[in-house]
Amino acid sequence: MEFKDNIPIYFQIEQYLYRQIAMGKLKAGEKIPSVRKLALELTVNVNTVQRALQEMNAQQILYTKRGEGNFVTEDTELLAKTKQSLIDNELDEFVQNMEKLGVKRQNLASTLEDYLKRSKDHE
Amino acid sequence: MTSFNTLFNRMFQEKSRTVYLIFLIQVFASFCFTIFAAFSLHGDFNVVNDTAKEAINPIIGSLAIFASIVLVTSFPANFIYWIVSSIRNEKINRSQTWRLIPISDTKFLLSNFGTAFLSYIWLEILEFVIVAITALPLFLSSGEIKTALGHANWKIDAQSCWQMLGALVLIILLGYAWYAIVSLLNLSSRSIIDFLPNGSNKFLIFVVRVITIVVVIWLLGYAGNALIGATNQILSLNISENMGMGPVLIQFLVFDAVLTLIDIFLLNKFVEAKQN
Amino acid sequence: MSKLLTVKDLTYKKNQKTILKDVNLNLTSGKIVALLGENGAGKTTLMRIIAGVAKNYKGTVNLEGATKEDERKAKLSFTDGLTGFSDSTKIKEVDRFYATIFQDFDENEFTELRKFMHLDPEMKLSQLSRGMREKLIIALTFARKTDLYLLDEPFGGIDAMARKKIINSIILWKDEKSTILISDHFVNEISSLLDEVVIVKDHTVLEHKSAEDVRQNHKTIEEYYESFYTDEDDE
Repeated sequence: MEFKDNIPIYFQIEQYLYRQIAMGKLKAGEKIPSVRKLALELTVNVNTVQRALQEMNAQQILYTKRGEGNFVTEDTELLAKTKQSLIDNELDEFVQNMEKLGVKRQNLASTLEDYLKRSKDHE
Repeated sequence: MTSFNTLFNRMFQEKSRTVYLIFLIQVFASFCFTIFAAFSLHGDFNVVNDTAKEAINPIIGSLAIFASIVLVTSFPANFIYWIVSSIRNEKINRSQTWRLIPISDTKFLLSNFGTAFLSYIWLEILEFVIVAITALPLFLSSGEIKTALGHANWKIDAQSCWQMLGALVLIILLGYAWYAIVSLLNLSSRSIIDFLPNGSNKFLIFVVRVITIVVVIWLLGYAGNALIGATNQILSLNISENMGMGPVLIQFLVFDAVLTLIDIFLLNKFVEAKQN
Repeated sequence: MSKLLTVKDLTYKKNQKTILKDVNLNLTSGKIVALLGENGAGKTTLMRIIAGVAKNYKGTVNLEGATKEDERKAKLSFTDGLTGFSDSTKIKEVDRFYATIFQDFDENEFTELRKFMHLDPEMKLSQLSRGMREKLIIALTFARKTDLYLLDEPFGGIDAMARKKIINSIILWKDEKSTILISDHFVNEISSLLDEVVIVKDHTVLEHKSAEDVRQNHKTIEEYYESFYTDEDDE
């Protein structure tokens, strides 16, 4: 995984795990990989992974079973909320980029619709 | 921390390999010489004991020849060991692998000298054992030698016993002095080379080594004389014939101790492990 | 974070040339720290002095209260080029040497590390490629249980797979309390791993920062490191 420069790595690990959960690669109630496995996978310090998991525990996205590891919460409402905030983040970025290109807010929906139609024709 | 015993055992193990190698070469060479000699004698082995009346068994004769060749070759073999072990000692003194061992420089140096010397004794023992074993059949088979040994005067008085012990201690002190002097030459010249600008210049290193050797030998001669003078003066009050080798042993003991102290000082303060 | 290593006012000369001047460095326990600098900047010398194999320096080095060289050697594990062994020495013989000489050498752990690195105990040192040799050195260094590990250019001149193995062994075998100091002249492969960065330049420690601080200044660790050297061209 490539890390961005100006964001703390533990935060990027959190984002990475949120995505895994949102995409359904990690399901509700499922055990997530061990700290060391994650550290290996992402080539980061074990401490950094631990910090990310702590933060996620604090946000209750994860919960810890003693001696067993970390599990994804079974609170579906919280999961939906998390997924929604991920989607919102992506859309935020999209809107900002479009505005930079001079596409006005009121025209966004039609521009997108037009695009989707064109790309469908190409298939 | 690594204990002195652990390091000593380990160093001895490494150095005894050199001993085995030299010993094997020596035995193999002696074996070749023996075969050569046996052929050139055409089966007449009485050269090994010309007082024998009956013909000597070829196997006993060959073994006796082998024993005497091992005895003769032990001089060059031991000489080679002294040279090889001195080089090995100095390599260890500057090896990062060895110098990373958590032990004081004093114990490190003493272990290095001690194991080199003990390995030498080990080589001597191996040579003695093989000579004794291969010469034994001749001694047992020959009536003349048995009677000659029987008539010999085996009584040893206290005086000669002390003298033998004194000679043994002197040999140990001399052997130790050899290693201490080689280290002094290496460590002092290395300290100077590390201090001088442009220390990696091969010619400069050569010049420093030569000058160090000359200066150290001159200093040792000078110090030796002074030491002899001083001990004689101290001991002159009660010097007597009975003391025999006493003064000489004390002189060498002091000499060895002073050299060791200088070596330890150089190793501890200046001489670092080679970068690798 | 407890204090681990304190280097104070360290100056070192060899052949009348200054190699290190007024070096000050403090490390706390439980960190992965990069020691970055050009070749010849003095990284190896600094490690050798900390490890107690370079002599005749001015200043003090204190490793958890140990200031004497032999005491420091017992508390740290330094990558050694294995030059004390002849080329015909087998890996298992090197293992035995370490196991008898170092009280803190864990043979089981070495076996695990050796297997992880895919090294055959019957192989002789002369048969090892540069990458394999470096992997063996790392395995031997980590098999000792110490509070400080000094890895001197562990990634120099070896292939990508060996580098990956070594990086993974750092992640897997580092225990929480110990600190690892890694010297290198380039950083990108380990940058995500680092807690702190120490820059060595002009014979001294120029800067010592946490990796997070570097990132917060909108810089990659690489850019941060390179900035010390590009300044030079502008002058």
